[in-house]
Amino acid sequence: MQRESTSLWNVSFARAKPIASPVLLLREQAEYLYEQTGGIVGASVASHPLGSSGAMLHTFRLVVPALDNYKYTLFHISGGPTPYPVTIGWGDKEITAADRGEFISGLQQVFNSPTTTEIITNLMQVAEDTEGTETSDG
Amino acid sequence: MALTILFWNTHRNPVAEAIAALVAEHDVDVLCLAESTIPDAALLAHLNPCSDRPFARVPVSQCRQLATYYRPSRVGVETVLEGDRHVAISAVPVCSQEILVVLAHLPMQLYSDPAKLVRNAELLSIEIADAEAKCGHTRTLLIGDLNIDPFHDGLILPWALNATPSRRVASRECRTVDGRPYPFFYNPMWNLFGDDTTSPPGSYYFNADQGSIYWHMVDQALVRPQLLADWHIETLTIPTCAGTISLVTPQGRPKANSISDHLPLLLGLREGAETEGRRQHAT
Repeated sequence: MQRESTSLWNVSFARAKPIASPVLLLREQAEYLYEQTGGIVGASVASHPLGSSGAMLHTFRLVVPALDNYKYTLFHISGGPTPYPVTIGWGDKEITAADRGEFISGLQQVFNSPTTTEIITNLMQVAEDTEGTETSDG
Repeated sequence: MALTILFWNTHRNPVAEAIAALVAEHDVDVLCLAESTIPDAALLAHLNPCSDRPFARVPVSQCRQLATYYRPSRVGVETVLEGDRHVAISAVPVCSQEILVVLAHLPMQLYSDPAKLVRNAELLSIEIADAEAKCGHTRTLLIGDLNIDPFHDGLILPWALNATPSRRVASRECRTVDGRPYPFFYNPMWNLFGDDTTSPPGSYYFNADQGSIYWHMVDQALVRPQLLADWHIETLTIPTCAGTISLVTPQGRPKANSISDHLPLLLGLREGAETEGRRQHAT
């Protein structure tokens, strides 16, 4: 069928470069954590729709494979259909990030806090102790 | 088999003696404390005086807001998933099936806006769903200081904790809203709310707000209907004394300064079907 109109889409979607999503950044940071803890503590990112608002929730959890995949929910982010803004929910605090720069700054605050450091080092110690116990028993 | 759980927000007070008295009197298997500043060693010294069934701290747990202890001789425990204000443990009482016990202390409503309270409950429900997925079952108990009453949206909205006061309604297992199923909790705390019980009218007394109902039931235990298929609630009480120590004033209110502004919550589960008479009363 011959069209009588012309395309109103001015964007060439095939050549458009999407903005890196906050979730992708979280997954990359999960990989860095795994490397920097010698494979003892990793992290996962789980996504859920929020029934109350329709927004998406992405939960960043520490994972310890040696402890039967024990998980600790460190923080979560929530946002709408666009990559930014997002809100980081960390303990009782909320950090709003309008763009990628603010998001990275917020993540640095969470990752490098004394509390986070203590949790991760504690988990590394428990995992190593558990591994040692299993070795000596076996 | 039976499993007895005691939850108590101890308001940062040195109440190890009262805790030990409650644990001994009610033969508690799992103890969870919120706002506890009692060092582990000091509390365990009170809990384990010459006991042949000593308590231990729940392994691994990094949760800052809750301190959880258990009797390894009575129940096997593994921490499954936790966060800043909740701990989900797989509990396996001796010779029995696994139960998922989620312990929680949500932020106080005095300092939170209503929408945030609902959101906190929704976030907790997501954590519970993920813990259930990891455990592979929904024999789940949620117990803790939720800091909202049983009638608050955070307890009743489907995408929040979806807790109904009716066991019969909860036995439908879920309700579907906009094509999405939401699993029910049964909330037996409604049965203890108000004057027509042998317990106090609530677990927490608060009168600093003009709209207050004074007695609040912020400390709650919710159960999935799947847990009630094989277990029944044998005991659900708000103790007002711990041995010879009274936890309430002569007016019946919590001794907020010397003991705690919250009363403890004691839940006893027993494996097996409930008798018909009790079930009819419960529905």
